[in-house]
Amino acid sequence: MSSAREQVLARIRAALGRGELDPARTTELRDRIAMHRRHIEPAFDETPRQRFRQKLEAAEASFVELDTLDAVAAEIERYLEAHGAEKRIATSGDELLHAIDWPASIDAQPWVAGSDHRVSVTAAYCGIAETGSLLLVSGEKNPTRLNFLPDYHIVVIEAKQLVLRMEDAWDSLRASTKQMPRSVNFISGPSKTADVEQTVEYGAHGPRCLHVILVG
Amino acid sequence: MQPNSRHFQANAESALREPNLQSALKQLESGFVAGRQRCYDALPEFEALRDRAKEVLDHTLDNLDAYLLEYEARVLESGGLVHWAGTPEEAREIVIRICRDAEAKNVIRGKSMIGEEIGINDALEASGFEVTETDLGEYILQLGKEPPSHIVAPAIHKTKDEISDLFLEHHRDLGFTKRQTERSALVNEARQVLREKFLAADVGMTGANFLIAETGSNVIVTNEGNGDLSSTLPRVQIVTAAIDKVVPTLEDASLLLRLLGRSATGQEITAYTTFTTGPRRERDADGPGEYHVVLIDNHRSEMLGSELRPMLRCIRCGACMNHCPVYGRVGGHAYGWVYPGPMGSVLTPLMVGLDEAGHLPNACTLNGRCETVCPVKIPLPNLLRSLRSRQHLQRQNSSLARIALSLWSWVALRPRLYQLLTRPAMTLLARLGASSGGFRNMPFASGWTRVRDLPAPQGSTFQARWQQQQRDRK
Repeated sequence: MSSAREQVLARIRAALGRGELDPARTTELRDRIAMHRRHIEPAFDETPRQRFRQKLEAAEASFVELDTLDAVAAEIERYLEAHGAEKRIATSGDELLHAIDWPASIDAQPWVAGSDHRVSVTAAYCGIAETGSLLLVSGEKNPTRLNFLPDYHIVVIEAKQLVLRMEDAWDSLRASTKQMPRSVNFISGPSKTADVEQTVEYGAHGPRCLHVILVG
Repeated sequence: MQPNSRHFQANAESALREPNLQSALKQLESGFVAGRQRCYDALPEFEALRDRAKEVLDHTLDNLDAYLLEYEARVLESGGLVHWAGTPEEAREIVIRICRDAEAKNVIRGKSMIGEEIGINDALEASGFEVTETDLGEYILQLGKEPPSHIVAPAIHKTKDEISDLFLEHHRDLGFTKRQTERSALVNEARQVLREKFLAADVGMTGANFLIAETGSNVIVTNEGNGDLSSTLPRVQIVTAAIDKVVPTLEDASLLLRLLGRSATGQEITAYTTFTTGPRRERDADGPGEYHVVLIDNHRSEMLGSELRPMLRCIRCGACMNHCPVYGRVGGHAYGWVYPGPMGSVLTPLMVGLDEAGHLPNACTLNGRCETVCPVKIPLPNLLRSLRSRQHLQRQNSSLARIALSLWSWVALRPRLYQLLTRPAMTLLARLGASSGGFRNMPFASGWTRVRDLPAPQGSTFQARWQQQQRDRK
C-alpha cells in the first residue's frame, strides 16, 4: 500500500491531468522561487520615519525618538516610572543593548529562563515603514519569549535600520543569514483582542504595552 | 463536529428569533465591513493586488505537487518533520501519535480552522490529553462547548453576560470567585488563567495562514499573541495545515498579507505576523525542540480537479460572510458545520456531503457581494450555482423543484413560445397589482409571499421593451 504522501500527490497530479512534472519544469519553478519576484508595492507619501511612527502610534504603541544610545537608559527609567512598573527588566543579548550603561536604579538582567519578568527590552532586526512593524528574529541572544511574555515590551531600534517594506526585510535577511531564523516576528502594536462583543481590548496574551525607542 | 447542515432552515428560523445574535450580527456592518471599506478606499492598489493574488495562487495550484515537495524539503532541512494525511482520521491519528511519542499531557492550541475541520480537540481529549484553546474566542467556545460561528471572530454570537457566567463557572475553582462584568476584566482573567496553561503545556498546536515553499516556514497572523506563545513555549510544536496553504516565496506571502488583514478585520496588518521555520536551532535561546507539520488533503485534491478549483484560493479572511445578507441574518451556527457563509456553503457540501449540506448552496440570493469583496476573486456565486446543478443532476433537489426547472428550461429554450407566454402574463400581473403595487399572496409562490410581498411588474417584459427601444432608435 502506498503511503498517504504518495496518495495525496497522486490525487493532486490526477486532478491536474498530468503525471509528475518533468525536470525542466521543476527547474523553472525553482528559478521562480530563486528570483524572489516582488509584486505590487503600495506607494506612500510620508517619509519612512514619519510613516513608521504614525502606523505604530495608530496601533496604540508609544513612541519616542532619541538622538543617541546614551539616552536610552534614562528614557526607559522614565517610562517605567510613568507606568508604575518595576525597575527589574529582562534584556535580550543583542549587541545594540550592550552599549547601554544601566544606572544602579535599574536591575537589568540578560535574559534567563523563567517567566516572572514584567518588563523586557529587546532590539529590532529592522523596522518596516509601510506597516509600522518591528521585525524581531530569534537567535542565540534573542529569545522569542521576551517579545510575548512580559506586560511591557520595550524595543530599541536605530533609525538606519528602517526599511520601506516587508520585501526589503526579506532581502536583508537573505543577505545576512543562510537560513531563515527559527522565529521571525513582525510586531505592529501591543497584544489585543476583539473577541468580547467585537470591542478592542489591549493585553490579551502578549504585552499590554509596546514602547518603541527610535535612536538616531 | 457532527454536521447539522440538513437542518439549515430550522436553524435559520430559530437564529432569526435570537435578539442577542441579531444585535451581534448588526455590529458586523459598523465593524468589519466598514473597516474593510476604509482600507479599500485608502489603498489605490487594492484591485491590482487582488488580480496579482489570484494570478499567484492559480500558478501555485497549477503546480501544487511541486511546491508541496519544495516546501517539504525545506522543512526537513530545517530539522522539522512533515506528515501527510489524506483524511481527517489520518490527521488525528498522526497528531495523537506525536503527542504520545512526546509523552505529552497538556496541549495548547492557537486558533485554526483546519483543527476544527478535523475535530482535533475531541480526538485528543478522548485519548486522554488535556487540550486548551488559547484564542480568547475559541477558549470561550471551548468552555461553552460550542462550535465557532465565524471563521475570524469565532465567538461573535456570545454576549458579555454569557461570557461572565461561563468564566465564573469554570474559573471559580482556580480562585476567581468574583463574577467579572467589565470587558477588560474578563480579558484579564482569561489572560491569567491561560498564562498558566501556556507555561505548563508540552505541545503547542497552531494552524498556518500560509506555508512558504522557499523557506519551509509557516505563517500565523494573530492579534492576541496566543499563536506565537503556542509556537514558542512548549517543547513540541505541531502545525496542522491544508495542502492549499502553500505559496512559493516570502514575496508571495507578503502580497497576500497586504490583502488578508484588510479584508478580514479592516487592519492593514495584525499586531503579530509570525514566520516559524523548524525547531529551535542548536544555539537558540528558546523555542520547541520538535517541529511537526501535518499536511491535510480532506477533499481538496478533489476540488482541484473540478470546476470548484477557485475555492482553493481562499485565504480564510471571512469577508464573504461579513458581507453576506444571509449570514448577516442567520449567523454562523445555522450553517451547521465548521465553515459558514458563502465560503462555507461551497466547502461544507464537499467535505461532509451534498446530501447533508444540500440547503447551503441554496441559502444564497446570488447578489454577488461576496465575490465583489473576495480578496482573491473567488467566483463564489458561480461555485454555488454549480453545486446547485450538481444537486439537480444527482436528483437531490425536490421533485417539485426538478419538474418546475425542467418545465422552465423547456420553455426558455424556445424564445417565441417564451415571449408568447410571458408577455400576456406580465400585462395581466401589472393590471392586477396596479392599485396596491404588489401581491400579498400568489398561487405556487407562497414560499416567497408568505414572508414578503411580490412587487407588481411594470407592464411589459424586458425583451419587449428592448425591441421597442431598438425600433425607436431607428
